[in-house]
Amino acid sequence: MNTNDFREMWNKQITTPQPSQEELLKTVIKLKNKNRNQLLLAFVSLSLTIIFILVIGYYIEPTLITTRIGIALIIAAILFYLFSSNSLLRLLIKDADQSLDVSSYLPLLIKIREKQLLLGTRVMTLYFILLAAGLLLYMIEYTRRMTFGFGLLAYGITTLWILFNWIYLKPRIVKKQQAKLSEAIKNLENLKKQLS
Amino acid sequence: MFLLTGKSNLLHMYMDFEEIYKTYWNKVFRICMGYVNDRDWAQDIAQETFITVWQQLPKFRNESSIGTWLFRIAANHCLRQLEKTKRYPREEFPLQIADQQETSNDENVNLLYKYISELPEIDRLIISLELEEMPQSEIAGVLGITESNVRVRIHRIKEKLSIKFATYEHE
Repeated sequence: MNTNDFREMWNKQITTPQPSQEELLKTVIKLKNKNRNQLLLAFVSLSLTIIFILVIGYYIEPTLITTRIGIALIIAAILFYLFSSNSLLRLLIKDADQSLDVSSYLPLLIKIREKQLLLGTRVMTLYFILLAAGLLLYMIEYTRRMTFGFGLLAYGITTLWILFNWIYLKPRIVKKQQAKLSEAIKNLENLKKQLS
Repeated sequence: MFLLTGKSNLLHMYMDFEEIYKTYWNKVFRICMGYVNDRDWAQDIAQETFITVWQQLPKFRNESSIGTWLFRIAANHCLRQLEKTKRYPREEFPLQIADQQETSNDENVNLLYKYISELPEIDRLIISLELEEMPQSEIAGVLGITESNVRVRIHRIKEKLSIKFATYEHE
């Protein structure tokens, strides 16, 4: 078989009728709206969290400032956890320009995915640090009312719990969350190799 | 005055896009089809490509030909498919058999697209662009590799395809 045979067969492929231009542009608008709604959602959840922290800080009447700071840190940790979802992180990082040639596009896409991976891992680290710090600060006021022995026990158990989270849970959660990204990076690296 | 200019620009863009969309739909569809060998999937990628074309059209600066620019977008969209979850093979949707019959191709045509979709990803794009009669210098421009590299690879891919067809005929 020669080139012309291949070309003849190639052109015989029955193509699907193209969607009308209006239909296509409607999809463009839908995509735009979806992006806008995601941004809006992120903004609203951020605002609500801040309001929530302020309200709690106003209504509870702890004698120590550490309790207030503790609660604020715990809520901030939860907020960070919400932000660690990939779709939200994707909003923060600009997508690669698709009109680049493939040899420039692939490394850029890999870089972006690596950035997302790093950002995702960092967000999780920050989540656990904020949560642990918040919890330890929050406890101060209440353990002060206990006897020394019970106070020590309370802090001991909490510290053990935090260590369990840090050493066992965090690596597992990060790995599971980022599996898709790591896989994507590996596949893109394979594609890049095909170019050389 | 300012508003009027804005509107007429948009109108120009709409008309430019209409022309591009008409001229290139079949070509882009075939390239996507060579890449995935699945009609629905190929149509989705082709649509995504034209959505990006519409979004990026105001940024197009004639630095490359419109074809090179558009096929870069199509190629990058194809390559990104590996980030998406794999689709179910069509056999799992018996309801769509009727639809499939309407679009049945010559057996050799189906084989060609099947064989191309089994090649390594970058080779699929190279041979598809070659079969769309794109000059080798422009294929090099789409992929960002040298023209001689393109030439050598096209030669090897065609050999591979010929062997596949020959083995099939002997069976």
